[in-house]
Amino acid sequence: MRLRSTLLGPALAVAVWPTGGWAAASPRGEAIAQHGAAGAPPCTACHGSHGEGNAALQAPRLAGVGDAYLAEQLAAFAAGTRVNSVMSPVAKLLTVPEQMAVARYFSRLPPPVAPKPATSGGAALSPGAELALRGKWPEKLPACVQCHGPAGIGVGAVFPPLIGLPSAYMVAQIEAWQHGKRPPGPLGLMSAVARRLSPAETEAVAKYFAPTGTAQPNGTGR
Amino acid sequence: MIQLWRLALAVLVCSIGGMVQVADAQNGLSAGNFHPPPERAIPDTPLGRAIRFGEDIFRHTRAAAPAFVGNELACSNCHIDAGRLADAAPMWAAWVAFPAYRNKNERVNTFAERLQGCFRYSMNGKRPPLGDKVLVALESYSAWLARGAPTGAEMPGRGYPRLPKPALPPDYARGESLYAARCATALTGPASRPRDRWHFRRYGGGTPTIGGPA
Repeated sequence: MRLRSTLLGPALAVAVWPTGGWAAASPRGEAIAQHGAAGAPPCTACHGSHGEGNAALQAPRLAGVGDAYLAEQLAAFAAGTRVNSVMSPVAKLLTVPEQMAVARYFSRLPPPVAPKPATSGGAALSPGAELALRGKWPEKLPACVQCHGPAGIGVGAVFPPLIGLPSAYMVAQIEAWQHGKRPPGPLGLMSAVARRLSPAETEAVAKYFAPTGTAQPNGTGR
Repeated sequence: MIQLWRLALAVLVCSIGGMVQVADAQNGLSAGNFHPPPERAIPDTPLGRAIRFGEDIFRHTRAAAPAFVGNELACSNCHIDAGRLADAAPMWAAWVAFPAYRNKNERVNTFAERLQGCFRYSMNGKRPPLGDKVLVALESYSAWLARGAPTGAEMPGRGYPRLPKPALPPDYARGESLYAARCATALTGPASRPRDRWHFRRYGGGTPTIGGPA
C-alpha cells in the first residue's frame, strides 16, 4: 500500500476518483499549491515542495493529511475562528472551491517517511510516550494514538497525523484549544483533551511526536 | 462469523461511548475508592516478572499470547487502562469476585476459567490450558492490581455502569440523526479508507458509558 501510493499517489488518485469535482479540482489544487493563486503565495513556500512541512517555520506537513481536516482548517482560517498571522490572510484569498482543491491535492500526496516509532518493550516509558501511547485515564485522558492511529499516523479524513509535527507547532495548537482560539474539532474532542493537559504534559507529548534528528526551535511562536 | 461481527460491533459502539465521554466534561460516573498500584510499583522478583508479563498480555494480546488469539483485539480495548479504570471492567474488581456461579454455563467458574472464556469468545481464539503461563501471568497481574481489595466485596466500579432505561422507545429516524451527529466521525469516515477501516475497533477509546462486554 505504502509502495503503491509512493509511486503512483496523485496520478492514481485522479484516475480512480469516480466523477465530477475531483478530476477537475486536482490540477487546480496542484497549481495553487505550487504557484499560488490570486495574490496568495504557493503553499509549498512554507510547507515544503512535497508538503513535507518545515519545523523551523512551524509549518506542519500537509502531504497525506486527510482532505476533510485540511479543508476545515482553511475554512477556519478564512472565517477567523482559527488565527495565524501567516495562514489567516492566505486562506482569505482562496475561494471555497480553491480551498477544497488544495486540500484534496495535499491529501493525495504520499506522506514523508515516518520517523521510527519508539518501542515500549516493557521498559519505563518517557512521560511523553506514556501520554501518547497509554493516556492518563484517571484524568479521563485517552492515549493520542487511540484516535490519531498507531504511532500517530492519522486516521480517516478528520484525525490528522501527529507524527513529525514540529513540537512548537503542536504546543501552540494545544494552547490555542485551551484558550478557545481554535475550533474544538469533531465532537469537541480536542478542546476537551487539551484542557486536561498541563504545560509540562503538553511539552512532553509534543516532543514525543516531533521529528527525530531535527533541531527544534526553542519555544518559538509561543 | 456472526459472533465476530457482534463483537466488532460491540467494541465499535464502545469506542464511540469513550469518545463522547471525552467530549463531555466531568459527567459524574462513580469511580469507586479503590486505587490499583501503578506499573512502576511492580516488584523485580519472579512474581513481579509474571505480573509484568500479565500486563504485557493485557496491552499487546496478540503479540504476547499468539497461540490463543484469533483477532486483532487486545484485553485493554475493553478493559480500559489495562484493567485499571473503574467502570470499564477493572481487573481488581473481577479478581475479588471469583470463584462465582455463572448462569452462562450454569456452574461455578474459577477466575482462570473466566479468563479462558475471554480467549475463546472475545478474542475468537483458543482457551489456554489451566496452568498455562499465559493464564498464570494474567492471574498474577489481576491479583496484584487487587492487592488490598476486600475479597468477595461488591466493589464500586466493577464491570460497566448500568444505563437507565431510555425514556423514549427505539426509533430509526432518531437513531439515524444521532448516528450522524455522534458516531459517524469515528465510523463512516475511517471506514472509507482501507487502512483505517478497523481502527476504532482495535484502538477504540473505551467504554465507561456503554454496558455489556461481548
